[in-house]
Amino acid sequence: MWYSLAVLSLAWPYLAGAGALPAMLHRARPPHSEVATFQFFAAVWSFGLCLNYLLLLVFGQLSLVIGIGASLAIVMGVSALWQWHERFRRPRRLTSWALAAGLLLACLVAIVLDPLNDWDARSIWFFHGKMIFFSGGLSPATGLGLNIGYADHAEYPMLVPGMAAEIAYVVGFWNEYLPKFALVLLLPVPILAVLSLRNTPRSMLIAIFAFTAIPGSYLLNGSMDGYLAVYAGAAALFLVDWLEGGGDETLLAAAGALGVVGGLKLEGQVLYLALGLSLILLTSFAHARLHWPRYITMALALMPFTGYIAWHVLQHRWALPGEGYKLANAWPRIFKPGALWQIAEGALLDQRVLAASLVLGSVVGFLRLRRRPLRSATWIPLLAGLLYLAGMFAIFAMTGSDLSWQLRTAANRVARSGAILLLIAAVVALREYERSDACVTS
Amino acid sequence: MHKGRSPDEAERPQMSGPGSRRTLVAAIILAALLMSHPRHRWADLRRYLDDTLSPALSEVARPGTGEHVLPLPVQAMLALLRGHGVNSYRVSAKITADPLIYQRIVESAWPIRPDRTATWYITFATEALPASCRSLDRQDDVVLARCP
Repeated sequence: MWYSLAVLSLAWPYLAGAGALPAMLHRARPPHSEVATFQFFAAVWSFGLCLNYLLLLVFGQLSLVIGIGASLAIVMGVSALWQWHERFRRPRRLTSWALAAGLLLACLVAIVLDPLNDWDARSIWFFHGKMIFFSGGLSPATGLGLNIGYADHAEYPMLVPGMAAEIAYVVGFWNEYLPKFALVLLLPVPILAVLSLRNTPRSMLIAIFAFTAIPGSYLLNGSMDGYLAVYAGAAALFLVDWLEGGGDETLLAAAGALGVVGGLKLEGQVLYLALGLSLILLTSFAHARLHWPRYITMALALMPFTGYIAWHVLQHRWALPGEGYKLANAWPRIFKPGALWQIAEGALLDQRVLAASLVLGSVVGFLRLRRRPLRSATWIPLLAGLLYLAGMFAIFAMTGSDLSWQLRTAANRVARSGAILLLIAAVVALREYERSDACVTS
Repeated sequence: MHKGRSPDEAERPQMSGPGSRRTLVAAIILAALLMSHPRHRWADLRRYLDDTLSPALSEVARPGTGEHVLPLPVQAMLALLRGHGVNSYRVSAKITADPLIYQRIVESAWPIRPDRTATWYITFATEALPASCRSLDRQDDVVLARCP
């Protein structure tokens, strides 16, 4: 056991080193406040996850991916440490970091010491990981797209299956426990996103509720829905931070989190559309001011999306089957009020969406009582949440499967990302009040 | 359009001190309570420590462990396939029709692959074997047969 633990512990410097690429090329000053440090490390970690995903899709063979990834991590990690060694000498407040480490350790125990038991985790996500591990990499020989007698959705993104396979590769075997360590490696970004609200504790409370109660057991069981939700929430929060003048690290953190979103699940594409449209709408109609980053930051912000694009290229090259959603399926349902109500009940009236709406409504009501206006940035996660839920409504209408079955098995899971975006809108609104309140009282 | 760095975090109002720390701790406790009733959580925790954590600690670093979560017929199928060094197999109509059994055997047996032309055949003991097949082994209610 100690050997496996020692090997797995190398994953932390591996991903941190791989994520140091933007830190090195960016050549920015190290973050200058605690909140900026959390955002910066979130950017580093998500870039590490995205670079590892890109290496898997480009090189395929696990030994090559890990070898190149480890070499890059050492070179870039050491360079970044050297560049900022002055910074790391100075001791900082350690409470938040200790809290984050304790939380990670608790999650590690809860996740890894519980064998894979969730349906989708076994039939899809970790099955693909197992395929990649036993074939030695991701290639046409992996077995994706073979007729195995059930829909294992070979077209689903491979970020987590790839990491599960890499973990099995480095420990040398597959079992039902250790590959789940891939989930633990996704946790730092949402934890850092919550910690970035440390100076506004009431909005942090809503964020803790959003990042725990909304994904619930889906953070532990191996399905991707919980992680899609928390990464959507983290991306929206960082995006708002950037719009509010948080600087380049917030844009990189948002881009990194969005890159991971695209590598987790197909619904990530709906989130891209929802967040992109809400940003366009806000800048067009609410005259929100964009804080343009430097060109190097803009170029770096595109890097996390390369894995998403590379997977689409491979899907096309390997002729992997797609999902059975067609516009033609939606027409008959549009004219059936019963079907529309069924979809609305499943996708929009989900208990988490209702709870999130209630929290958001309470925060907005509270601000109106205090005669405080809503900041325009609040509309980004709010519009994105509504657009995402509308998108899910349309997608369920287009399903080629039995509608009742599809809603029963999926609506509750995919609605979580919409719910979390509504809660992030509440976080942003309340955070602004807390900041201005602190100004008034200080 | 604004270009360059914006006002940094250090310039923003920050809440700190014992008051905000108390609020933070209260927030975390409240969030934990919101998730479920503490009595249920405690019962879950006891069950987790006794039934899940102890066996998991002894299994976590061993190859192939954790398969006890699979349905019993699937565990029997795995034992038969591995015991006979099977590379590919096909299953009976009854097994194919049950997603709980079929999906679990496909993913858990991998890299042993399902193949409609395979000579190894898995069936329940209650089902009749196809005419050309010869039963080779049995574990619980599952039979492994060879169909040339």
